[in-house]
Amino acid sequence: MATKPAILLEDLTKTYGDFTAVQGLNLSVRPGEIFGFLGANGAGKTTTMKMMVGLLPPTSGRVCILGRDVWREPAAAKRAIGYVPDTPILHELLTAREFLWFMADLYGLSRSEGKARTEELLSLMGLTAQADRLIRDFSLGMKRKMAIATALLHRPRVLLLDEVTNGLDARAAREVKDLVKAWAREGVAVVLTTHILSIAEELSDRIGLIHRGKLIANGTAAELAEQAGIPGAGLEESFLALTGDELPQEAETV
Amino acid sequence: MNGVFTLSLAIARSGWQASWNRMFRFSRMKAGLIWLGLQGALAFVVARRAPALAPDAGDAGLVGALALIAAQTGWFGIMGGFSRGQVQLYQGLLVPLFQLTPARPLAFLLGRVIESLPTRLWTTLLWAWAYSSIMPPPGRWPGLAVLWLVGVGVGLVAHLAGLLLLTVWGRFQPRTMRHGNTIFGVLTMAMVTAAIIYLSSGGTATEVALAMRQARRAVLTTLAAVAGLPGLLLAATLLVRPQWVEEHYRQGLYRVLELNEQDSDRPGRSLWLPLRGDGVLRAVLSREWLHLARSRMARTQLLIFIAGTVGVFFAGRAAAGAPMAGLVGSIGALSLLAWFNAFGHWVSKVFRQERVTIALYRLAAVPTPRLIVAKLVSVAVPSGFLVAVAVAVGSLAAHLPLADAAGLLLWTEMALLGGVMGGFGVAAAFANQEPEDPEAPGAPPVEQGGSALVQSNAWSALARTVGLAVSCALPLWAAAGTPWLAAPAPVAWALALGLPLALLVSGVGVMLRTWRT
Repeated sequence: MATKPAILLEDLTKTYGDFTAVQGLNLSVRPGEIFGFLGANGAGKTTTMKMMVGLLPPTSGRVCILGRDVWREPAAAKRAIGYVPDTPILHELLTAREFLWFMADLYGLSRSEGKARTEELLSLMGLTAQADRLIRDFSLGMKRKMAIATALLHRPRVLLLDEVTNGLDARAAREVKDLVKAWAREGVAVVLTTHILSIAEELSDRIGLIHRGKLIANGTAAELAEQAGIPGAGLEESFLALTGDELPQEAETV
Repeated sequence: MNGVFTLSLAIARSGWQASWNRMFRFSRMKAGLIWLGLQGALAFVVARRAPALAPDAGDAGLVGALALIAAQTGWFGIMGGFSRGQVQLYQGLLVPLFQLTPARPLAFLLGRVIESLPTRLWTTLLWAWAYSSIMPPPGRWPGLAVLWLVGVGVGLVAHLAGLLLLTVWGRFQPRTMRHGNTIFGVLTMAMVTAAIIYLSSGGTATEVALAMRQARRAVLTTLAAVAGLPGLLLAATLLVRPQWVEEHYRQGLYRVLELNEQDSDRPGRSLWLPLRGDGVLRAVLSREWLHLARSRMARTQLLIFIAGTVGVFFAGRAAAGAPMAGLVGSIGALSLLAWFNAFGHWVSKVFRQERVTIALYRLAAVPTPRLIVAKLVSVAVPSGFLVAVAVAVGSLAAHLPLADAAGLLLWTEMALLGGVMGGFGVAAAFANQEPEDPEAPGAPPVEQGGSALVQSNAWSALARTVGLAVSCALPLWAAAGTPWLAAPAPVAWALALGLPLALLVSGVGVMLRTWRT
């Protein structure tokens, strides 16, 4: 019996006037699968992510999380989603601990559960010693860790990670990568976007390549190389070949 | 609704906690105390200028004071609901955060109303205390209680009216929503300016209250139409059909978020000043003036300046035939006030409004004296131009001969020069303070460059504002013939120009010592 998809995008489209940011995107991600979502700057990754988490309404098509339409049953769908945006969204005038308590309230956790989960995640992210400092005074790496802790607070079954290792030092980045693998082993569906292709190659079970708003390739790294017509090539070569028309004229001249 | 109310409380609590953290807990100099002190001082000044009526006029005083506080809290309530609501519910960094959670949007609306309550209770209490002095002693304290309750009630209903306006505006005209802020800002500044002029020219709150009593029917009708009915309508809808409000807010928010996405893709045009010679001067002037030309806030401030200039026009008509000292005291003072209200921050924040980009001058090893000169020119030139425009408007309204108009312009520009010198000096003294200096316990201290005072945002803001205001006022006072505090002309001028000059020299001196490129 086929597993029900944790994430399902059906004919997802977003237009702004004459400009089409995302065009007829179809995609499904299974529970426990890590899906790498790649594309050049402005290809439509972040727009797609925003539609998936309920920040931007699609022009047409739908997004279902564990069978719930994000735009028709937002409360049920959002309970299942954890999202780490590329720029951490944090209440900078609260301390780390206060912020997690606040988010626990918004996610409907009980007071005791919220407090326990807060301590657990602060410890997991190595932020316990900084828990009573204002987030405003955190470094980018610490803010990124706070964003990850926030996304995990309500034990989501779907994780959407946008450039999740940006700003992290090598050790913290390694820890986060290990965590992503561990979450997937527990059945969490993970979608990650990154510009660091080695991370996508290392973590992803499957990789999708979005180019000018369209999903132009989808499969394992080896399958992408096949689709690019260079079997056995690494992800970087496949990526460059599949998005080849993107190379600016000035760069060619140089 | 129970779940929504609990969530609303959580949102309100986070707002209170953030304010507490910012103003008291993590503020080294306890900025909240300064803020409370300033509010108290303002209420004290108004109370001093609100003499009690005779005992037999106590009732009239209460009615007038009620009309006054209702009009005031009604206006600020609507403005708070609309303008602050816009920041909190449509534009702030936290808006996407709320969107990500399963919490109902209604909770954010209600949470912000609840969050505003303590501030509303406190500020209304201050104004109720100030206006209660209109009433003769036996009735003062009961009057204070009535004023407070009515003020809080009207303010709350008006806040809801502002939110209703915001929700409907955001839903059907999201593109023009920010213009509402401009309108509220300009009208409020015009009213505050009028109140300052009125009080400083001998008017009292008692006279205003009595005038409001005469016009109480009109005040009540206007309040009911603008704030009461819409506010109560929203309150009733929240009780009976909350999903209607929620759906309109949600749809409006999506449209605003979508517009924001599109706005970020709008192409601009690259411009640079075609100045020859000093590259630092060219860079600083281009950066500052392009920033102004592209800033939406600067456009709003220009409207505030225009509103002030309209005041100058009327002052000019009233001052026709007055001697030069009188002209300086009316047209000159109001021209300077119009500039101060709208653009005084150019001077007092000349180094700080750049925020982190101020570090670029250090990275490029720009010599500090050249940076100082360029920054001084960047604020002095447009300020001088704007004040000249306002003085010209006043002079035309007063039908001044060219020679008198030129004399008036000279005196006013001299006062402006004093203001720019003193304000710039204080700003320079605090330039070394990092824009995002960490204030949390255990955080690394800011670069040592002065006293503990230098390390406090709140004190620096206060010092910069006071330095600018005093430096503007003193030359004006001397040019207007030393009203209020008579002093021989040489002493007055020595003080009027000496203090701004001393501030400039000492402030620049501090900057030269502490600003290492």
